[in-house]
Amino acid sequence: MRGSRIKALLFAFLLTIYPLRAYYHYIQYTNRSAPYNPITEKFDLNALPSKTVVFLVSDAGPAQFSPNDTFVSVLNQVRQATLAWNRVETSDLRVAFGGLHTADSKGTTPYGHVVFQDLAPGILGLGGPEAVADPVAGPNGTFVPITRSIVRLNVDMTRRPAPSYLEGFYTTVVHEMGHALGLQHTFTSAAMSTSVTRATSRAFPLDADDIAGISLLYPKPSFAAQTGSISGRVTSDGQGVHLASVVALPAVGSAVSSLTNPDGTYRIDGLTPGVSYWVYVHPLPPTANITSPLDPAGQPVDPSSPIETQFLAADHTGTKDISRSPTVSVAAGKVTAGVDFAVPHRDSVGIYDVTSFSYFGQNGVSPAYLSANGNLATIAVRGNGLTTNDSAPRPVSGLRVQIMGGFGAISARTYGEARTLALDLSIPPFVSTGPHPIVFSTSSDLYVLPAGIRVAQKQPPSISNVSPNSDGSVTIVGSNFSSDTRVFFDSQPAAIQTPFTGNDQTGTVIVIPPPGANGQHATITAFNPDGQNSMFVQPQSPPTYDYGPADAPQVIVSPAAVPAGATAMVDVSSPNMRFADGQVTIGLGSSDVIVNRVWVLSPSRVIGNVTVSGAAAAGAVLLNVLSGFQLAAQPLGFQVLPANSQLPNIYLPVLNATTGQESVYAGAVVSLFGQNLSVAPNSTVILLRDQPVQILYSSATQVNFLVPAGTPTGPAILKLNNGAVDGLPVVLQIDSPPPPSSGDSKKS
Amino acid sequence: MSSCMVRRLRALLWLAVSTAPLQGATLERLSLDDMIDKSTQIVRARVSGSYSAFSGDLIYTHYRLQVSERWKGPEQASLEVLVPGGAAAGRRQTFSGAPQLQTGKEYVFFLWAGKSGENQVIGLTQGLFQITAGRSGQNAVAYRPATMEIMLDPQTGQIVRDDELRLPLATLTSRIRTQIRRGEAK
Repeated sequence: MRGSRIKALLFAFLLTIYPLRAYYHYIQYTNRSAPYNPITEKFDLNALPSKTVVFLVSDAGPAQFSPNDTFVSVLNQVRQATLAWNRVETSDLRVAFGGLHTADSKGTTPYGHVVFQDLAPGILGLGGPEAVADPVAGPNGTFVPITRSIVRLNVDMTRRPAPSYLEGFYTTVVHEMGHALGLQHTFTSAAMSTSVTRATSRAFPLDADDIAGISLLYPKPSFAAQTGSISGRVTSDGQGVHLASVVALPAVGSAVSSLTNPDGTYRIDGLTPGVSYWVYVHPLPPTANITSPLDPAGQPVDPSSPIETQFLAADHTGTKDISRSPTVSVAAGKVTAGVDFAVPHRDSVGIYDVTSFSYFGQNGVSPAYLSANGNLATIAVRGNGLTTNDSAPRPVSGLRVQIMGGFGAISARTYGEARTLALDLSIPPFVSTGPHPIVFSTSSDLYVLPAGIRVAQKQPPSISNVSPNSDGSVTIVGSNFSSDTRVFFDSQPAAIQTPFTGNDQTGTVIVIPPPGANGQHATITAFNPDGQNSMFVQPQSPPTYDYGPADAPQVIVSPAAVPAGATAMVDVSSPNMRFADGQVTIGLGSSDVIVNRVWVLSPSRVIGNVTVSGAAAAGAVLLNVLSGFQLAAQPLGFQVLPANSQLPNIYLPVLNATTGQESVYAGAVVSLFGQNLSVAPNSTVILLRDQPVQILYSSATQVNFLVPAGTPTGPAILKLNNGAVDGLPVVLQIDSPPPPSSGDSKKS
Repeated sequence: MSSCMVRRLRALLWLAVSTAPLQGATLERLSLDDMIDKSTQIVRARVSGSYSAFSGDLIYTHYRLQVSERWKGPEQASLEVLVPGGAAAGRRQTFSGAPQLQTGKEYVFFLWAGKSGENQVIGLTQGLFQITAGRSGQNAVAYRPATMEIMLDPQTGQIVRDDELRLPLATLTSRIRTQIRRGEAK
């Protein structure tokens, strides 16, 4: 009795000191036995300008391409992938595309590096972080800083997943980039999921599990406040189970997961408040290939032996019957604790690695898509343990298949291929669109495919005609378009000139193609917001658009030199490029010289803020400007000058002094932080759009000023003189003022 | 055998299959015949040691191999094979999906040397078979677990499953010799 109490107290003590979160990050332990102290490999936000990791692409690009594929299309897919990770609002890490990079321009600032290499046959891409060998202490705890992350792609772009205009190339880059940011694989159909369960697309490049993973690694305060958590412990014969995967699964929607610590504890974060989740635990499949946590000597910490896959049971023993499993609700900012499992070990994993397919003609698409307006449907599923292992594979004895979210009985029958079954199912009326889990069970086994099917309102889009118009626009005609259909020319979205009109049978959208390159033949693909695209039904002969001849793109940049440690506006003009909003990147060839933001002022002029690291080496770097598929590159086009200790220097971002946010507007008080901003009391003069502003406070490191009433929205050039020296101009974005709150209305 | 020992054995087996390759790669599915055709060397060898070093910007783990049998490639009693990732000069690079070889273990290697001339395993883990049992070559089994890396069909680009391969070493040897002869006859 006394022993039990001591054990209970000891366990409670361990729970209080254990870091319970063990997402699929790269983990190192600082000790060899319990209680373990996991630390993660991640970028040091304090070492990144504006907390932004820039991905630079080696200018030694691929050597071979498929027909109609180009290096610039590859660059744009990398750019699109950075945008996907950058959109995660609950992550404090910003991700940006930095253009081209030369081998001899190494920066000191941590960055992501995309290189093209002569990879061995059978290898199409690799990604992962480079970290220092030893952990360091940071303001938010000990971590292992990533110094550089590498995405290695094949120099031969005739091999899959190329050509670059395919959705699969894009999702591959998103996936490899996730590794580069510090994430490992999961088993939840998310972008970081292993191949057989992944169900992401251009419409859904990241899933809830990816968002939780990156947000947990680089959390904003809002992440914990806006989401809920589930925690518990997985045991077998009273011992904690290490590296079991615990998954929170909604009936319709996206799963989120975590791995158990060596003592079996786990915590799943990033869950949607108000949603009820089933929770299940499963062993890593034999092919899991998770990079095990490392001990202080760099040796893997062993995973436990396989366990039964079980849903949560009321008595915590686990059940294979989901209908007997209670759901778990979460609340914002709260942890629902005590979601424990006591599950038996087993000799091996039975059903695993299941993939679902639907077929459009001869073209198989994974995951399987179903039309919400359909009645009966057949999909295929393939995986280990589903069929008998003979020449006529039949469903294994007692196999039961369920699709969550209102689907009725499902009949599994032979498909005629090894490990593959056909599932005949009826689609329920009023079925929810989106991902639905498939649950496979036998008397002795259980397997869950989190996004086994996606239900969509429409059939996949199809393009029937592409017609260039005299004004440069292009009319796209097809079926199953909607107002949210996006049209891509190779890897770039086209701007909508005339929104969709028509119906599901035939519809039209008129678009402005992205700026094109000389003689480019762009492949056109229509993407619907439900995840389907026109390649589903026309993979062999997608429509193309010919751009015609064009001169080699040229640019003029001013200033073409900025001192180390300084921030300055750069003004880029071009006699023959077309700058399109949202499609321009100014690259300066080094992680130490990055452009924070660009504003397109006209089709031939763009401005941006460039920040040069104080540690940047003086010298020339590669200037490269990308707009759509037009790429201008000047090998020594931009100079980093030696640091100037006298120069007034403004740090970005500029903040709204009232809100602390980056949005500033007419009438707002703005805080500038930096160096040498004032040499004496009241000495600072600031011009905004060449008009003097009212200075409210000034010191060497901070100036507060009032944005004049009536200042128009958009980019405004800010010039500062500290009383002795002119600083380099920077661009300030002036936003629309927020609408007055109801409280303000009452006051007025 | 006690239940404790059984559990330990299970754990060791589990460890052996679950931690062998790391992950994070995108692969192209290669058949056994593809690997035989595309290899520049095919050898049976024992890992005698390893070290990690930078090559340009990238860290590779160099595994030293003692060759006991050779089916393709130049005669050498020993050679090195490079696997991406490792720790060197105070840095650690992790390329998920790269195999971790164990010193003292014996494998069949399907190797490929590119322009650099350095040997790499074909298909990351696809071209690596651990010889798992048997005291003689006749009874030995060559085993390669399936990978869960993203694997694409080279023709269609569709994601496909990898399959584990487990076959008697003698059978693998026969397949290798037959396919090499076919290649030479073309």
